[in-house]
Amino acid sequence: MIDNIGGWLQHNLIVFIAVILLPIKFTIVRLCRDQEAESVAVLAVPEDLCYVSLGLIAGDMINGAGAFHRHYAPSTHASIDLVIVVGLNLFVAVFVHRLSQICTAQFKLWRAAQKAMNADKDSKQGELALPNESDNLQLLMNRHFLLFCIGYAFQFTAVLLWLNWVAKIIAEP
Amino acid sequence: MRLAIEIVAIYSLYITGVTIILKRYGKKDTLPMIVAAGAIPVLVVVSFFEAIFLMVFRSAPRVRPCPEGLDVAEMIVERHRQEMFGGETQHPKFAFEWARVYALTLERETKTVKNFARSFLPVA
Repeated sequence: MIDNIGGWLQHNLIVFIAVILLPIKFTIVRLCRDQEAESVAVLAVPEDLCYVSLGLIAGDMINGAGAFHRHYAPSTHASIDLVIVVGLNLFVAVFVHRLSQICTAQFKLWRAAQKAMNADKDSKQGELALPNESDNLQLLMNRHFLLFCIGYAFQFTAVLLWLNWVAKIIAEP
Repeated sequence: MRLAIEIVAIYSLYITGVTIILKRYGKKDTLPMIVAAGAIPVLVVVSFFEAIFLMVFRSAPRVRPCPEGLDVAEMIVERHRQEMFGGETQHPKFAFEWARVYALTLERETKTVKNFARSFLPVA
């Protein structure tokens, strides 16, 4: 049974990464009890997946009988095709990194809005208190969290599409 | 079938990531926010089609007026962000942009009403 599951995971690379590799990363960061590193580790997951795919492509290219060599064997310019594949992977990595920057900025603003919501109010302010302060902070908190989630989901979508293509070629018989 | 399994795997990674973030850093309403975050990818797809529908069947979306004090609240959040994470001050523009878009909407509506009135009433 273990052999069957192992074989299935080998042919479903993305599921293998999702089920085996990344939970190990989360567990290790958790065990180290580094609270700030935890958010960095979680936010870097889509980018990690880009480099995993780059590693897979580079590892496969070194092997002359690798899946990418076989896939581009009918082409008259196979080596240029391989370079283009690596270039595309770098393009995906840059795109995901840019999204990650936006996502991290929104994550920080969300945490700052949470802190502002929970900050002690000065009771002496009375009528000088800001209008709709808690409503506005709640609105900003929701907005930053929403943008963070959208950015994170878009990163995963880009990586999913790329990894799907890479995994399909690697799984070719 | 294969793509469906992969989508489920990546979606579960997204949910795991957001759950860890919310459990670790969320101050309140953690569970409802996890549910909301889980629905966001679906909502993004639905919103995309809704935006196309609105573009085809309506001229422009309605904009509510910007809440009073939103710009000050933005500055407070920015100050907290700087205290927590450092870095240069970034001038928030959300409230400013909202007020600007609302003003433009009002201007457009006023023009429409004026044109409508002019077609009925004689201009002095």
